[in-house]
Amino acid sequence: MTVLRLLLAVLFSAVALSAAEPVLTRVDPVGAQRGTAFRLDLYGNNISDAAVLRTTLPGSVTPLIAARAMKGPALSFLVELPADAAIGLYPLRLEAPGGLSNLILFSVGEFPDVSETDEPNDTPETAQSLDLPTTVNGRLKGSDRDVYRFNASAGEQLVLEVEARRAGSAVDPVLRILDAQGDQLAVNNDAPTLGLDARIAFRAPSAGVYYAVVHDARFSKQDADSYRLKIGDFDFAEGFFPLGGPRGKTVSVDWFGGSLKRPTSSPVDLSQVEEGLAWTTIHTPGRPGALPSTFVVSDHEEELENGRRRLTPGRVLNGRIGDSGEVDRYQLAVEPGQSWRLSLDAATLGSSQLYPLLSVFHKDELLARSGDEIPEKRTTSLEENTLVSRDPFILLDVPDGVNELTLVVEDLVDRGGPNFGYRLLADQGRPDFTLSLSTPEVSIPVGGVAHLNVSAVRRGFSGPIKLFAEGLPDGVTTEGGHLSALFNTKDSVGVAGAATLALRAAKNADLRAFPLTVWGEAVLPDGGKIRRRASAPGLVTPVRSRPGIRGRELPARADWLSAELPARVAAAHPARIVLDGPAQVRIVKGTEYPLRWKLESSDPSIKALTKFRLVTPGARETTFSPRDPEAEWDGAAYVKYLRTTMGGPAQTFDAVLTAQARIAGVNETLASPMITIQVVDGFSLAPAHESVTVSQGAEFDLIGKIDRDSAFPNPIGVSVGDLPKGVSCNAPSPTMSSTFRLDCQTEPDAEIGIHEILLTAASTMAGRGEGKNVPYQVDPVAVALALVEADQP
Amino acid sequence: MTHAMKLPTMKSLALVALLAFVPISWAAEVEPVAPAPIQSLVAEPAALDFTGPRDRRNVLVFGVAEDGERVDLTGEAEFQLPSQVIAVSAGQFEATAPGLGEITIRAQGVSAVLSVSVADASSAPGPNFVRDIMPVLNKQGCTSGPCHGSAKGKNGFKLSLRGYDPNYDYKALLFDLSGRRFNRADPARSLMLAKPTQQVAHGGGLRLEPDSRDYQTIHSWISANAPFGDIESDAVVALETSPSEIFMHSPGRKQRVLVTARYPDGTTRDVTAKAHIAGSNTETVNVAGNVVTGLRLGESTLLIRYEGKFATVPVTVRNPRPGFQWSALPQNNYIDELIDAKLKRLKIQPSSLASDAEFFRRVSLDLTGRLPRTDEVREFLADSSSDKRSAKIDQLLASDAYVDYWTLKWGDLLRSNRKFLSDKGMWEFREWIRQSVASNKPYDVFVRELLTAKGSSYANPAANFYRVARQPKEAMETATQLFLGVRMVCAQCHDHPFERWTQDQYYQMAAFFSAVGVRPGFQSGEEIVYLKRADNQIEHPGDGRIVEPKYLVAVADAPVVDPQKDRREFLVDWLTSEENPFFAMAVSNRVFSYFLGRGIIDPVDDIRASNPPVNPELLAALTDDFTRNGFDLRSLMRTIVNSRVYQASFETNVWNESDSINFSHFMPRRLGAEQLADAVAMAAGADFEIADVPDDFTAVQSPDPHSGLDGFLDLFGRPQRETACECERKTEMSLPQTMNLVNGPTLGDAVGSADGRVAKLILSGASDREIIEDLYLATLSREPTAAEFDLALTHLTGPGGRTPAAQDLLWALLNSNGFLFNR
Repeated sequence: MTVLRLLLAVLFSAVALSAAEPVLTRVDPVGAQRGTAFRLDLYGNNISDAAVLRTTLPGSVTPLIAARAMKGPALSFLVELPADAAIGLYPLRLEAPGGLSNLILFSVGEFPDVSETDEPNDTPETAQSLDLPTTVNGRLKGSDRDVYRFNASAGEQLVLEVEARRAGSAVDPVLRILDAQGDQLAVNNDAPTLGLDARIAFRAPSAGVYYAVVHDARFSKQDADSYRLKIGDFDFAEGFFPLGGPRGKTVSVDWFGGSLKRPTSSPVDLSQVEEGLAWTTIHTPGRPGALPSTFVVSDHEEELENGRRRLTPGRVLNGRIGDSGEVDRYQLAVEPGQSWRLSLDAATLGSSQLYPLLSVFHKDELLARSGDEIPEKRTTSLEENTLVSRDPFILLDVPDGVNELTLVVEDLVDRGGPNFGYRLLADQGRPDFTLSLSTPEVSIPVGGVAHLNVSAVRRGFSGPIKLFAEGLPDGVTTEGGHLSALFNTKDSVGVAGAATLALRAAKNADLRAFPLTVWGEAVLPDGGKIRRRASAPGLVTPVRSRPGIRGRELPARADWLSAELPARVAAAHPARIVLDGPAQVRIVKGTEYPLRWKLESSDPSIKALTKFRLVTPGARETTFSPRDPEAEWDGAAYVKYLRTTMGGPAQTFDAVLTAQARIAGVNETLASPMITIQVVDGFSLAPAHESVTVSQGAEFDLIGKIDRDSAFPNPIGVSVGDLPKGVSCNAPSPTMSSTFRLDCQTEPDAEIGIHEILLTAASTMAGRGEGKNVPYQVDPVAVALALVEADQP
Repeated sequence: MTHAMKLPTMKSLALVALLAFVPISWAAEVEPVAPAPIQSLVAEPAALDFTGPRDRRNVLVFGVAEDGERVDLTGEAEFQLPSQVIAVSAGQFEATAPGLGEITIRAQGVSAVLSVSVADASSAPGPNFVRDIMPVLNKQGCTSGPCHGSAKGKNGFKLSLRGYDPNYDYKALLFDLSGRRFNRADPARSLMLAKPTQQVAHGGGLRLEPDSRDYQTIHSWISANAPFGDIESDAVVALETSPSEIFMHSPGRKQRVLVTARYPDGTTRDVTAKAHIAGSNTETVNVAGNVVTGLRLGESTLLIRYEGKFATVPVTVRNPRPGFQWSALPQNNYIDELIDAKLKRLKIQPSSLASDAEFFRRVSLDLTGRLPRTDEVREFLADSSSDKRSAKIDQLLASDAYVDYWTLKWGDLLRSNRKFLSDKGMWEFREWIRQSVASNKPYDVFVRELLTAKGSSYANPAANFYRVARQPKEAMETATQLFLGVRMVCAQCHDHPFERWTQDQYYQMAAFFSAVGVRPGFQSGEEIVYLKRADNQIEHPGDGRIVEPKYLVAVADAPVVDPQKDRREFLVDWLTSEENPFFAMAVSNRVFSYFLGRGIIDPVDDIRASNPPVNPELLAALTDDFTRNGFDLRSLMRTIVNSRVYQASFETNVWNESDSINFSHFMPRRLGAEQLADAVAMAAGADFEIADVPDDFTAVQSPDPHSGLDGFLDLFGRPQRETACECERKTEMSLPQTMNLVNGPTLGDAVGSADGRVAKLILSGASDREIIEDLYLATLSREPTAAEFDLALTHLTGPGGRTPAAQDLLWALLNSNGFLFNR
């Protein structure tokens, strides 16, 4: 081998190994004062010099040649922020040959920044001194406590605020103020409109030393552990009203509470908010310093409560529970048989303190209620296992005799006040659903696949949903995206479901970034079609939960960032899973199917596949076993059996095999191409007629077809049930025939009338145990039997 | 795992043996002492009044000695009867005909006369179910748990447990099997008689002899067409006992007990034969039938049950040792006065004051959960002021350590546990408790905030109470056990077997919580406590009726409940009323137990008529003091720990060595798990790491059972915070604990710690004397005695080297009873 070939091999190998997605683990600093220049260091994995910083930071961002220190940052930039830069959070993301990195938020603030000095600074004795006003960029390492000392004059007004969860940190901060003796003067955990972040408006009782203490509310260890503590004199509000407005319009927003001496109005221009984006940000009027708040943008007409007592269908009503115990009532004209969707948004917006309770009355009769008792189902989780509520939603079919509804809005615990706003919408509509992406960005390796996870909240629609993508460049295609119909359709309000859409990049696809939108399409019972756009999370920062405790921590998100999903066709991945079998699988319910796959790698050192998992987000009422993470190696491929239950529904869903491999020293999860699995009944009945008319005393036949799946091997018997008195049919022996015929006769005194009888097909099939045959039955089919008097034809 | 500390040497084991204090003898058997000669006889009742022929009565005969002692002579007395009106039947006097007469009683050469009257009962009604048959069924065990009173009955026949529901039982007897349990034409062939007499097979065996009085009663009742009677007028309204208190002057004495039932019409019935009599302390007394025998010195309480009514009789077996001379000790406050009063009566001489060192260690552990530092001990011992104990108490009560320790205690009781509350919820709840303790929030306010809490568990952490006790019944059971000291749980399924609480009362109290709902909040781990708008009533499981809220006991100033409002507000008004007989008493008793080792009523969360206080006057005074001081817990503690009783030595004298319930001396207690861990850390100068809490947190500050110390805390009985019962915390010693102390890593690592006390002492150049004194002060909070010092010095100057010898000494001290126990 020549030196040149050896060099090429090394280079190629380096490129191949660096093709994994870049990961940003932290940036330093996490924020800066506007009008200053500073060095921005980025740390992470799979970050090469070829990476480009994608950010909306105002001013200039210039790459620096980083010193090659062993533990130095991966990339450094010189940033100059203009003095008039808007205070707020700005995304930082790397785009590299290996794909897009995760997103980190950078905070531009008003006050001079300092960094937390070296630990320990856990006690007043070891506190770090601060000159005010200032912002400290700090980190909370596990059960860490950071203590800062500052001086204040007697009566001095200060605002202390922590930016953490809003800025994408996993920290849930608690803020305390201690006096010089260490006695606690104030504490805050969650401040109004700040979500989980903390704020204290502090008036120093006397001149002297004070301490600010910051710690995580759970003393938990998190990867994203940064925070910014602001201490200064700036204006903030405890709320605003309304909570949102219509896209394209300018809305007057009232700010109140906090440091504002009286309510202050400011216009909010919604004309530039991009289509599909449900949020924008708005700034508190007055002395700058506060981060902007999120404001809802809708595509409906809107109106303010203002004494209004009648709802206009399709128009968002912005209301408020102004006082403790207040109850708002609205009339809505309806007609019997209509279907109405009644939704109320408040607590989940983050800008309202209301725990909304929505009730629907007709006169004094309660027809429906949402927001109080939770059924023992998954209907209330935003995500499985998180046990977090949603705002109320009611799907109501108007009963007979009802021409007017009264909608009642109240706080679940009888509170009220200026920041107890809500948005109420009543519209007539067909069954519906909403979709949201749980993936904040996607990188598709050339010649490989990437997966998008989409969750659905059903609002009356129980059928299957098919996902598809818009904005795909040449060479990128989709697979899968099947979200199964509900097995039990009466749960069709609020049930969360999930599906995976696979994106495949051809081997010759161009390496490029592109914005992506994901949609779900469904066919309604009336034959019409409905399309809904999946909302993008903007940012997802995992928050660690302790095992064995109640609920699971929700990740930090930034839904206000963008309606589009950042995507990139990336360099080929050094390893991938390939299927050793078809990507489209048809299985008879109750049978098992061997899924086979292999690892392909450009680097022979990558072998260490360890734990395997079969991900089937769209499947319902179907179990898979064995759950053992280890797969069998049969000499040619890995094998894992997919087993369906006889009791589950016929459905189509997607499955992805994932496996772990250690690549370039990092554990990576590899995913297989999408496998679309169609689970079908082993057979079904198709009677020749939906109804049969027979005279008393006459004989008749029930005939039809047995649609047998080719994979179903056993004889099938057909019987009939729910026969009226005086009617009997024979039950022929099970047969392999594709038709059936039952000979029936009626007695002369058989009961006249129309009777629903049930045709049932049943068979047996091999069970899991050896030598066992277990019953196999499909849903019965109804036939109308009309019995008439003998002298009638 | 390797540890810096080597295994204990034989020398150190010997040290342990020498340092261990002499075990306390908790009870002593005393030989029976014969009573003084009898001077006169007294009969109880003073007259025998029979309601009519066939009525049966018993008589107690007491011999009265010169010193006033009363001795039960019933068994040896001779009776001369007025045979025209009464006779003896089955050991009882039975009226035979209406009339008057006298019984002459003779015993030990003394006689007395008892008047007798037998009323004419020719018009009296025959037996009925409520008054006559239920007592038979109960006495024969038919309604007991193992028989037909079990939840599913027996062999297809179910009765209410212990006959708490006569209506149900009557219907079961009369109408099950289509009424075939009765043969009214031939009552003797009724199943109800044929089964218990085993004329037909009966799983419960022979319960009735055909010639017995109970058989005749049932037979007569069936013959009379099995009348039910009247649930009001035929039910017992009260039980009376004779004697009402038993005072035995020595073990070995016997005393019979008579039980009389009183009915609404004023009539009485001697029910001694059918009443159930049991003693609370089987080591002190033995009960056979109605005869009580004193076994040992001590006290017990007889619980007497009959037809759902209860009576209690305190029994005291006094020390017969001659030569008792009450020696008055200083009395710091009313606690000492009231305890002394009883001790004097019982001939128990209390122990004198503990030393300053013992007191300081004890009060530090009890108020703050931690040992005093060595410099604090030196300073306190050197202080010559007369009020230094009170001053130290005030100082400890004002300390952060006090807040931490009582946050832990309340966290245990309120089940602050991330398993129920999530991580953040648990920390928030702990913070709320801590702030409540720090601000010395009045107890009634504390309870009000908990029980009326609503809203987000994050914004209002008190609402976490309902995240643990999520259902109305559970909330009620928790609230009554915690804040009233009353256990209602048995009454959920049936009337309480050992208390007056009924099933109806259970659901009436639960109805105060019936509207409380808990639903997920809008943040991870958050829940919202709210009042349900619908489906917010509670149904009685028996008949499905809606049960309205009703207070457990009547209180004069309790508001009338408006079921349309938040019922919990009414409940708390009633609960925290100064007139409520349980609220202040329960917590006064509970707090007292934390310092004296047991409650005046014990267990502290099982207050019932059958578990009476050992010193009712003291409990009343504590309760009154607590109430008058605005439900101030800190003030209550201050009073208790300032008492001489609390500050008494744990060492006993011959007069109080067997007393374990009257607070005549301090009762040593093993340190609680967290106390022990912190004490080891402090004494050894080691720094234990507790996961998921700030580095400077001690074990006492650990927030819940999910944090801390590799199982050491759990091994030593840290409660898991699964129930509201004090009993979850274990303080007894066990073999695994001993093995852990001797061989486990916690002590080993602490003693051998690179930054530990021994290492620092050696590196600082401390002298042998300084090392020995410092280790004693750090572990036992006192200077070594001369003998201890000499022994330790011999070990330190031995051939093994100072460092291992000092480690041996520290290890031995940590394993000594003086360290492991608060005494």
